[in-house]
Amino acid sequence: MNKDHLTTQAKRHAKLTLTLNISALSKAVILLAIVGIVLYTVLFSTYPAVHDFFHELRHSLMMIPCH
Amino acid sequence: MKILFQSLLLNALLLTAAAAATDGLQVSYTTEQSLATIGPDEDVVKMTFSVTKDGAPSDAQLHIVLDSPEVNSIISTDFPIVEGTRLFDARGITQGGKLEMSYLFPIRGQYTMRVSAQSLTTPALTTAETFTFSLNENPHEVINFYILISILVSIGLLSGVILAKSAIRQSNLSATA
Repeated sequence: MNKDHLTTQAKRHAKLTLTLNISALSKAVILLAIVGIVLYTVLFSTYPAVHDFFHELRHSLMMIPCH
Repeated sequence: MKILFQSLLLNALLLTAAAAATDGLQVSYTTEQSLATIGPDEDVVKMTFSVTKDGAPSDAQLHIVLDSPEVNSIISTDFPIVEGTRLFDARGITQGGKLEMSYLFPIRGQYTMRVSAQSLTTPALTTAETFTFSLNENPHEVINFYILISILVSIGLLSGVILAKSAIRQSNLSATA
């Protein structure tokens, strides 16, 4: 992939994003879903690869139940 | 009458001796550093159990049972699997009236420790004490928690502002269209 192609792609995405017409409620729901998924994954997921990576972080946050 | 009086006197003497013997065996413990400054899951605590008989060090067999803090259904610790469980159940014999033990307490909260002692020289002489003590949370973990809450609140506020501005812009556009 060359630089020009990447630039073209970026411009296309930027144009698409600017022309998107999503209601405030939908945006809020999307935001809450993303934040919820990220927080659950980082703080509560039991998937071993994720848990092992964030193990020390969870223990250092006082009240996040790690195990 | 004289025999009855002598019998009563003998019983009284025996009871007094038993009470004194029970009171004579004392068990206590000390820690190298103050429990208020100990961080759970961080500082290894050296505990020294002392047994005295009539005020003098005396050897005894100790039975030490340590229970972890009870489960708090509202706020968990970072190690909930040990909440409300028996952490330690062991026996040991004092030497020179002392028994040392090192332990890493896993979580914050109120621990209950029951220590029973049986004198080695007078096996009939026993005593049991229940000690309770509380450990505070590590200060840096508390700070980390406040930082996490601050980050979450900041993200919430920033998202709210962005979404509100976007909604206002959309309503203005639809009003002008």
